[in-house]
Amino acid sequence: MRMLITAALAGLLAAGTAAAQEVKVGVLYPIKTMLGQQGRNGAELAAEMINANGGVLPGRPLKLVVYDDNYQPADGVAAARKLLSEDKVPVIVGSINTAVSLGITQVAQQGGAMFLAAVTKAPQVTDYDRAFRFNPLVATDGEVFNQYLKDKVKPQRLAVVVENGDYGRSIIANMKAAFGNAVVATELYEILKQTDFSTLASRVKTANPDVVCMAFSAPEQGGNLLRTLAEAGVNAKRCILPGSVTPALIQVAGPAAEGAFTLDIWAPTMSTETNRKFVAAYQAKYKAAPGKVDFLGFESMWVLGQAIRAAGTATDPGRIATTLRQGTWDSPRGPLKFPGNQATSEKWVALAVKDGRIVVSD
Amino acid sequence: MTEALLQQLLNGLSIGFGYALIALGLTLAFGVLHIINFGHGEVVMLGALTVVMAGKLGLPYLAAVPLAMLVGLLVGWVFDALAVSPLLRRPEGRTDILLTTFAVGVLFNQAVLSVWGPAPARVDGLQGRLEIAGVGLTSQRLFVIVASIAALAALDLLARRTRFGVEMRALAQSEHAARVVGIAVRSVGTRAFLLAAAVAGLGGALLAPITSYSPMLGQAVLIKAFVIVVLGGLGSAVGAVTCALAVGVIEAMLGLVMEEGLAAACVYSLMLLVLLVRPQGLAGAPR
Repeated sequence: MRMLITAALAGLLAAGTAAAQEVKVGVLYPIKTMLGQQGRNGAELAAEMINANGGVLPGRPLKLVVYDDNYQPADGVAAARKLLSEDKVPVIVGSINTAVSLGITQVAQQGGAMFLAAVTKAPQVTDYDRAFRFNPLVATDGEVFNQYLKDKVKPQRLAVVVENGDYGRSIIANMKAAFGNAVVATELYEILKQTDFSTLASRVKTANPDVVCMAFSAPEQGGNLLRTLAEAGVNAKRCILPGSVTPALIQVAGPAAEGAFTLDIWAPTMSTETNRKFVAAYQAKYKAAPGKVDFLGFESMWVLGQAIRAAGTATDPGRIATTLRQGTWDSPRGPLKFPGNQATSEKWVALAVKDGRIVVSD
Repeated sequence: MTEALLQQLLNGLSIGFGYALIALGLTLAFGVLHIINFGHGEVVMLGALTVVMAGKLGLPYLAAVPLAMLVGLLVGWVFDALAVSPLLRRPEGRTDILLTTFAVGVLFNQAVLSVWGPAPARVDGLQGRLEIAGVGLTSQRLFVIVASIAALAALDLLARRTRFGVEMRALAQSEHAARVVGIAVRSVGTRAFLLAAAVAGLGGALLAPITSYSPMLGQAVLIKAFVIVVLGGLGSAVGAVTCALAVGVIEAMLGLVMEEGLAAACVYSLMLLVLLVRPQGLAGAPR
């Protein structure tokens, strides 16, 4: 009997150490949606590549605990609480929607955990000193993009078509500030709910713009929008705000995406060594080219791996955060720093859709 | 301005006819069986998925449309076997059908997500575009209008001229009386449910080239269909079709002068108003 108990205890202990060896990291995305799955795919690929390289700490691989935030703040907050209280993760990575990421920031702050906001552009996230944002702010996007438009495209009559939410409305405010009376139409559509864009397209056509600027987070809506604009006979140049020109968009839009252009922090064709490795591994694992959200999902996890390794701890979120803020990190888009907790790199690339592919233009 | 109005009328009508087919399935199930099918949207989504898949296999769009009806029928059969027929045998089963159909709908949706993923897909419907006096209409939108009118006419003929149609209408009026005169109530009810599902599959196939396929499509259209059915009067086919057209056109027209979110809010307000002052719906019999 005693031997049995000893054996059972030994077994328990062994199981305990095996579990302790893994470094658990929480991952939250709306995984039932296209974008959420992309973020998750990127994160999982990064973890795989980190683990193939010996893990984050000596003999300790990363283990991702993935939950669905369902694009709903309530679901995101519940999942974040569960990650901290039951799974006891030191770091949460992910989140696309603004409201969801604000909820997660709050939960992380209450629990002293770190939060790497991978895709959201919410400004308030970095009010918490252990939260980091990987996607540039809309304001930053806007500054870089507006400068590009002014220098290269020179719009006379600009129509702005965006989704009805924080993100879309801040873009309209930005463009009006930069282009004033040249903005001849501003259109809002309903996120995910709107399936028909014919009314919107008629209105854009009536405004007779020479450039239409668009932003969307769902490729099915963006693709439909481009197709419906083409059907309505809108011949303006079409520019798309950073982040939305993806293979999925081109798949849905078809020929209607030809000639659309954008500016971005990253492109699959960037020539850094890490980017080549990332794109090749992504192609091999998922049989498709990575998009922006795949990249952000990858980058946030890839940088976290380096930061945990450099900090030498997986249990002290404060130290990992300080290490991350002070260092320069390797990313597919080049060396990455975190001034004010915002991931910042030097280079932006101009991209255009040509023959159904995303190519670097000038 | 007239051009813009005419253009919006056509846009609204084409989308309204699409709504009509989806709402008609809902109202048919309610009218005949007195049940609400909360999984109806997923049948529409599977109809759209069918034309996507058929396109990948090289089947032309027009050939895929009847296939989508067949898929709708089969999916309807699963719904009936799992979520409808077993509960109809219970005395108080009808209210539970709201939940069981919702559950089966979620199962179908999750099955699609796990097999094909959340990726949206384009459906190349009929190509080309007609232009008359500055007003344009794509061939696909015209096809939606024509095919919907044909389907609605066929359904009307079915309801008026066939034995099944007469039995179905008898059942809709009074289940007890139908049973007394010797109508096989169960079997007629099941066939009506399958018919509703096939029409939903058709609706999905017709709308897919306009809205693009996405696994979320079912949820997006279901709410709209419910609004239409409530406006028209639960169980009223005429009400569903006219209100679908009206909602399509009203949304398109309001879209000319206000944001589309506000336009949708106006339609929902209309539903609220109808529920408050005329709860049987615009075309429903008083209850």
